[in-house]
Amino acid sequence: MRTLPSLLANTAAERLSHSIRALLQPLGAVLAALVVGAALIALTGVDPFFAYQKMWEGIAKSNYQIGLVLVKATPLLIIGLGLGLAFNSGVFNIGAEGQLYMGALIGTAIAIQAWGLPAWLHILLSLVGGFVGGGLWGLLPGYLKARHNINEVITTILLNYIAIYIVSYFTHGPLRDNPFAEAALPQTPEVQPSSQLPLIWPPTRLHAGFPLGILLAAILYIVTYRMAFGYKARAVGSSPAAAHYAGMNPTQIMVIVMVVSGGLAGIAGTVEILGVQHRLRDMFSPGLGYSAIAIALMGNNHPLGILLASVVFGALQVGANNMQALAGVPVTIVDVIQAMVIFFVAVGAIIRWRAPLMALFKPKRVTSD
Amino acid sequence: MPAPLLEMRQIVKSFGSLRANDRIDFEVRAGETHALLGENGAGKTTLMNILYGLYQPDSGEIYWKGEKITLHSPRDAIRHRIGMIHQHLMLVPNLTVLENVLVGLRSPKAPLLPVRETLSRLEDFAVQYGLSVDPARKVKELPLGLQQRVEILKALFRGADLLILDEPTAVLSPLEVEELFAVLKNLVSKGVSIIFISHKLDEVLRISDRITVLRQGKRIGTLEAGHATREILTEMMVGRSIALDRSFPKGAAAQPILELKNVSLIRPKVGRILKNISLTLHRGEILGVAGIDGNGQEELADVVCGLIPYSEGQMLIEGCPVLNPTPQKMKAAGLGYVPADRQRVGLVRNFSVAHNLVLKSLDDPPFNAYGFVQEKVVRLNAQQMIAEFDIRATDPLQPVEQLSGGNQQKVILGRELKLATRLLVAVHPTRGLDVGATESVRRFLYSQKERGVGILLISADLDELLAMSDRIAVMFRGEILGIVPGERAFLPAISRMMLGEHLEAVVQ
Repeated sequence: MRTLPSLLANTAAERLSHSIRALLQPLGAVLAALVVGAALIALTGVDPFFAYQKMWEGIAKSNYQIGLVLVKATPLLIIGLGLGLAFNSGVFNIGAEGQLYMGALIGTAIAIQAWGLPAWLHILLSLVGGFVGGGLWGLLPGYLKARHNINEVITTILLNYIAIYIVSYFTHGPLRDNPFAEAALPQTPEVQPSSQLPLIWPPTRLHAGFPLGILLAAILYIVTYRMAFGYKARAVGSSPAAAHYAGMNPTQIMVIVMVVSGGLAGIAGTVEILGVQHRLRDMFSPGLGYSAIAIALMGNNHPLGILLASVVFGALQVGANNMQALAGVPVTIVDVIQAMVIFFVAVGAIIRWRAPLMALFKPKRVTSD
Repeated sequence: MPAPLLEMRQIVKSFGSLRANDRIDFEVRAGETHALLGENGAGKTTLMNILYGLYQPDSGEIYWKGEKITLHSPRDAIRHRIGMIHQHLMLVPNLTVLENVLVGLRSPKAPLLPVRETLSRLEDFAVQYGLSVDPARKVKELPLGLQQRVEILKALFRGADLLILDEPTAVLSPLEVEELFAVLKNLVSKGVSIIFISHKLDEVLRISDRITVLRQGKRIGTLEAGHATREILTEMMVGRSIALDRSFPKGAAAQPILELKNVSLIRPKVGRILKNISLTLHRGEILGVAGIDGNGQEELADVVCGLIPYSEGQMLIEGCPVLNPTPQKMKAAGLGYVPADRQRVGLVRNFSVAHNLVLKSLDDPPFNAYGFVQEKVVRLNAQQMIAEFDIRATDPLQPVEQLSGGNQQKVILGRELKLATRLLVAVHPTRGLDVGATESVRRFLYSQKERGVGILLISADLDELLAMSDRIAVMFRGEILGIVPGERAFLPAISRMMLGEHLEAVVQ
């Protein structure tokens, strides 16, 4: 007799169209950003179609380039997973950059030791070190938020600077490679061969960090959507009052989430050193921790979405280098495009909220005759 | 017969696949009070939002004073002298009454505000319509009844030949309802027409000249109030007859389950929210708590359920003192809690029905094994509960936010009744629900009582309290002023205590 619930229900088709829409929106954001980028490229006097053609060639012209895309995607993926978890749980962790540095510092400190360990153990120890370094750097703001209700956005941003300067201190001082050589760079010695991540697709630069990232994505998916902890974390994120009422412990969950989120950033930092750079350099990260915020937003905080988004961003970066080399377009254009992607993702979110917002404001805008 | 003031013809409005308004005809005559009656989700508010220009109809026509009009926004509605008082008041709490009236008014001497003119007009209105409010008071300091009066003043200021009131009594105390009705009668005698949206039969029968009933987006019919009875209206609203006013048999007191001894809640800077609360709830007893909203009832519920630690006093369950109550501890002690705010507190809105049903049991077997949520068990449990509690969901995995208010409440009730082996705290369990859902919620509560569970029933609906409770405690400003048997004879005493008189004074 009641038809209302059946009318309101999600049919399978609607659910599918929902996930398609969830995918289309970030893609739309990328396209919109590319259009704006095209206008900017045109302003520099280059044909944007030519430039984008070079960009595409840079991404897909050879296996080597594809490997490079995945190498670039790896740290973004791993950090993005942690941030997605944090955002899902209502914790706005902006401190991935600092957590990345601290993780890389501890991870590298272990990786440069000549302990004569077998490779798997040395790598594992270094990664655990990375997790601990990043995790501790997440624990601090997590604790401050949970215990003293101090806004984590502010503390994590400030801790980013501290972490970068701590690494700066170690690369200039205690961990500096060959400090007595003339013109010694502020960097650590090369990590031991036993701790370097193996290349898995020679001759490309793709290393074991990428499959590790996929493994972590699978784990994060299971934790978030299949385990009681994930349900609780998402409840805390979307309805804190309901979580408290249901007997969950929001403060404890927030702290755990910050540690895991920071720890993943720390692993990402270590992976970047063990797999690509092989030395910890002063100021080694080009803002990976910030780009990953966009990755998480674009991926809708879902591990699969984050995987796709990180590959897209990796491709943009690799393509940009080619575009600069062959079309003469400055690589910074790609930074603009990336920023535009974030911008359009945010705009998309606002558009989704426009109707309810308008409904809120409409009745108030009244005038009399 | 003169042309009606307002005529809405064949109004259709769909949201996605839902037809909220399905070819609705509706008319209002000049100078009448026309009630729009229907269950939640029947399409009342949608129809009125169309009339106020908030929604555009998919098809259909609106005739106003004999002319066809289109309303693109509330601005258009106001220009045609149609005013609306929303269910949730739209005032700026930090501004005074005068300033709230001035907000959005077009001033004849802009950029200055027409303060003096407005003040004198406010005085005129006070005399003319019996709408007196101190214009210098801040809105946030006024009780809800007076805030509503400010809304009415605002609408009259902008000029209103037709006033739409969306569930105006939902937030009012019985006394405030009387005052509102007096004001409305006054307005009608001055020539204002009124559309009164409600799902409360008694009020509708009292206040209106004609009644139009909607059900599932369709107009069922329009009646002269003189020809209508509760039975007829109920049947029109729900499409079947329900036994109303079914008085539940009231059980006898047995051994105490919950005891509060001098429990106080003190908030820094705010002061005492709860003052020396002492009460005893027995096995199989329903103890009603009456009071105007905001007199500490919800805090009392939160304290008993362990959400807020109390500052002083003692709480005992079956004679055992509870030290530092927490939600987990109280759940383990066999407590269920139906909170006042079902959407924000009772449910995680983007979780499915199935997962909301186990929200408090995510760590407990059989729903959890080695940290993993046992999705199959969760779904089976949901299928069972959906059948048992008559939850109208198409699928256990349907997001709970897609359910109607009544069905959301059934999800909460189902979950909490399973947990409530000793004690159930229910706050406004039927607020905002339609007749059918209200009836089934009460039935569920009652069956729990018969199982020997003690129920603390907090409600602002005196009829509900009188129908359900063995005893009724009355709260005023954080204090229990008296506890009386739950019988209609005590209604005057309860009403007076709700306004602050002590039991002793009332009895004399």
